[in-house]
Amino acid sequence: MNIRATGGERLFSILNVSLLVLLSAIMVYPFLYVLFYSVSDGVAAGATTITFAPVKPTLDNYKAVLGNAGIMNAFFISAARTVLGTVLHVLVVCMVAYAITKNQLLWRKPIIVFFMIPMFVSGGLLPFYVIIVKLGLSNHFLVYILPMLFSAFNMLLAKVFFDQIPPSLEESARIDGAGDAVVFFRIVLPSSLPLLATLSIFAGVAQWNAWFDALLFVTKQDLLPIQTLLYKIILESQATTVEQIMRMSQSKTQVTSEAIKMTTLMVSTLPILCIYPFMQRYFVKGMMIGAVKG
Amino acid sequence: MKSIGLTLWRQRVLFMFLLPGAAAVLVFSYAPMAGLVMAFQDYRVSDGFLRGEFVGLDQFRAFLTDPDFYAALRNTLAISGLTLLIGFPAPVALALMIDAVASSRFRKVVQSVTYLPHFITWVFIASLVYRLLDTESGIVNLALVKLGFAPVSFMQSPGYFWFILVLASVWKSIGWNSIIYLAAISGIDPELHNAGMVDGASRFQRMIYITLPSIVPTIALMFVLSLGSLVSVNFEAVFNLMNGFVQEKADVIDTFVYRNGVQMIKFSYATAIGLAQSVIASILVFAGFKFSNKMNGTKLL
Repeated sequence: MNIRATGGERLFSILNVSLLVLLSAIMVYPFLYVLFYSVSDGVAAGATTITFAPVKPTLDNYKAVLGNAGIMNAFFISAARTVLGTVLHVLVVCMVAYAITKNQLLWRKPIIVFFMIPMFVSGGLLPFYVIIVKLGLSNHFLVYILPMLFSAFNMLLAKVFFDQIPPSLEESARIDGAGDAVVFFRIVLPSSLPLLATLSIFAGVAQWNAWFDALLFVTKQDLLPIQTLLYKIILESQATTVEQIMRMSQSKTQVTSEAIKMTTLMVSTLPILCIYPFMQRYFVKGMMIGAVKG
Repeated sequence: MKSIGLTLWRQRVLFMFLLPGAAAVLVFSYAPMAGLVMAFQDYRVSDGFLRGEFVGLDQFRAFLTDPDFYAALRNTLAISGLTLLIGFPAPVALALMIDAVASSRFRKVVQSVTYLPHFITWVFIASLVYRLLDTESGIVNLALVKLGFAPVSFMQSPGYFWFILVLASVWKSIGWNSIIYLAAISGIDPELHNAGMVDGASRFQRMIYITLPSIVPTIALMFVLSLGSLVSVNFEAVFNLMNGFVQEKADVIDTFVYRNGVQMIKFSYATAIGLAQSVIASILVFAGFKFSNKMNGTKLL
């Protein structure tokens, strides 16, 4: 093969790689900035401009934020909705997907259409809002779980995966007298671990990051998830929580409201950043299946 | 022929599997669709969906004569037009650039890093944008001052809002949206590249003359699908970035619907706007498919 490392070739490679390095830096920098600010002395950080390093490093901001009962409660609500919401979502989606992979299923075509239509048509914000309010789900924990129970996209993902499981696996169990439920829970689910991981990541991230539902439907402060509390602290400038944190902090260095905001940002995003390296393998695979099918 | 009852009994487990999902879809997707009748009513909270007073097209007439609606419409079209202009080609370019990298380890690093913002909320991104663009202590203004310019109060000047929003959206989505193009690229027959190399084509030439044409069908499909978003702007992005100073340039249809519907409790009015918006979006996508089918002579879907 004729591979010539001509000048033009080298120039292109250098240019290409430099551009990608620059782009990567732009992607990473904001996270580093928040990290630097959150471990800096609040007053010192406010007096200068943080660029590429923290000023007067300290963990006082974290002590103040993590010591605040309101924030810890919001953290707990987020964790609860993420765990419960993810488990139920994955279970419900997989059960539907498994049922529609069965060719002998009565009314199979119309059932599939029934589940697919919401991918293309939606009632929009207001009718949804009215339904939730009429159901009495406002200020109820279930408002985080029930509306996010099902997703047609994830159902398709699961269906494609189940279709690829060799039928012989099921058949041998059926000969031994196993019914649909036993086959699903004992055979199909345990041999679909990559699928379960992919779905859990999609659902888990959606749950952890959800903030608008609580803004719409929840007024009780102690039922707010961390992202919504963050929204209220930062963008609605809800002063009470920040003041409370600043009053409660007994540290010698000064904790400023800006430092509290940056630290809360970091704390709310840390779980995602921590699991991100492990989840990458799965979501890329999931996107590929979706791309091929979609 | 077996009776339906017997089949149902045999498949009772499968139907039980369908039940929770079907119930969720019925209540949270189909019931709101039925709720669209509100658009033709003068609905009050105390009414049932079907008991509101029917007013025909009055709600539509109302928003079509509302100057605030036209401001929101203008902002929506401007922002989504800019997004299409910048945000659509960006991930295609990124995918081509990533593909042209020789080292697979560097490729992986770039991918990891660029996908990351997809998993971050707009609450986070908006507060960052405010911080980095801060007039006194933001790094962007620090750089401007160092370079001898006057500091700019970006988030208080309506003129910058569209660009800030679009750039932030591109930052968040460029990596994630490139996945589909990278998938398409990985499906290209390697023989094509081998032939190109035998003919002495450089990496850049192969990128332009082999890789890019091979993923045109994917690009066309994504383009048509994105036509529907011309009449809607990412609500979460605008909602988090917006403030009183920039509202004249920031208010889009979705925030207009939210404000009128949820905050001012004009349910029917807001529903009518939302309905008009989604009908237009569907027409755009449908027309896009028709058009591209005619252009390509092949069916996209």
